[in-house]
Amino acid sequence: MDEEKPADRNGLPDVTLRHVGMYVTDINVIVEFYTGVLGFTVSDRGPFRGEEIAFLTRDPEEHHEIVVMSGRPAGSFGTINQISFRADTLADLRTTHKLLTSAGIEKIDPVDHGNALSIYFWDPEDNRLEIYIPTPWYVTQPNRTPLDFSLTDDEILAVSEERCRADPSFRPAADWQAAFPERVG
Amino acid sequence: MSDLPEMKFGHLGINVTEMQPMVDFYTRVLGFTVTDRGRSSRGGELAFLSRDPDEHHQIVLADGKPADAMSTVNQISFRVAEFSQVRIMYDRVTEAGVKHVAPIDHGAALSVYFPDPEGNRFEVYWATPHYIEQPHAKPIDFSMSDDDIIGACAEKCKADPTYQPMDDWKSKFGLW
Repeated sequence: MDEEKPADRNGLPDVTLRHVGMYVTDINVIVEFYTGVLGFTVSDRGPFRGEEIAFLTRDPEEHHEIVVMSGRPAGSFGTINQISFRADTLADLRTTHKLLTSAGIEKIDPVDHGNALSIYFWDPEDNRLEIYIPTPWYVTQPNRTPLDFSLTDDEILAVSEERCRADPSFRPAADWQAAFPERVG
Repeated sequence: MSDLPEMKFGHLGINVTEMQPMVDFYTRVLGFTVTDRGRSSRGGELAFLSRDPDEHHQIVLADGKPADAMSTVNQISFRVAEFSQVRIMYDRVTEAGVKHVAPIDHGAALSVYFPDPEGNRFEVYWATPHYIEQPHAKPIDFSMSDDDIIGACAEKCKADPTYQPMDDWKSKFGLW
């Protein structure tokens, strides 16, 4: 896989993913979903290059975490595979699951990835959203099995850990992270 | 639903038509590492890319995008700590022969935009200490020095009727 190693990562600065923008068909429906269901705030909104643009955030440190701009043809193929947010604790994830369920979101897909516990759901234009927490484990990705919220938090963590440890690629995440520079080469 | 927990942007997945040219671009030009690569349970090919050991993936590439589908990604935006690093990224993509590289002064951010091989618009930006109402976009002239670019941006922002120091704007979060 030598050809996939970057030629010169060290010459490039550290970069942190901070926001994503997407083209939408009905900006009003999308803004209503992100504010009403997901608790985003509209930080600015206005006309831009012949379309309408809205800036959405849940974090005072970021003017926008999601940008939506009109102009996507109705019914066109969505090229966003997932937009993923990291939460802090399994209790947060369970709260999120309850809130999404009580908000009447029809399609909710809780998944155990081994290295993360996730909830997937879809916005009104079928963009897939993920809220996840990292686990202390690494297993080779992709890896997915359903996550069962009828179990207790302790049971969820125990089941996930047992499944990870049975995987030949299992490593503590800290070990995997420490080896990261070697992968960069 | 303001009861939802705090959460931070973690990663983004995009659907792609030609996997290998995209992996080459993100690794060779942008310095990402392939952390894992394989097939999903539904048979699609996935490549996980990161530049940060704390994130297994910052970008996921998933095949399955029809060749004629327009990208619905408007922007994929990464923040750097210093403006000089925006120039480093500008130099890198320009030297790599990327077309349509666009340095933009948003007032609140100084950015360089460029498309990846499938037309997804990538942004690398430095956050300024100024708030002015968005959207706002003017070209940056990289023939100017870093200090001159930062100075011209500050002068422009302070002349804008919507100007506030960014710290003031942040302190009024949700009350705008």
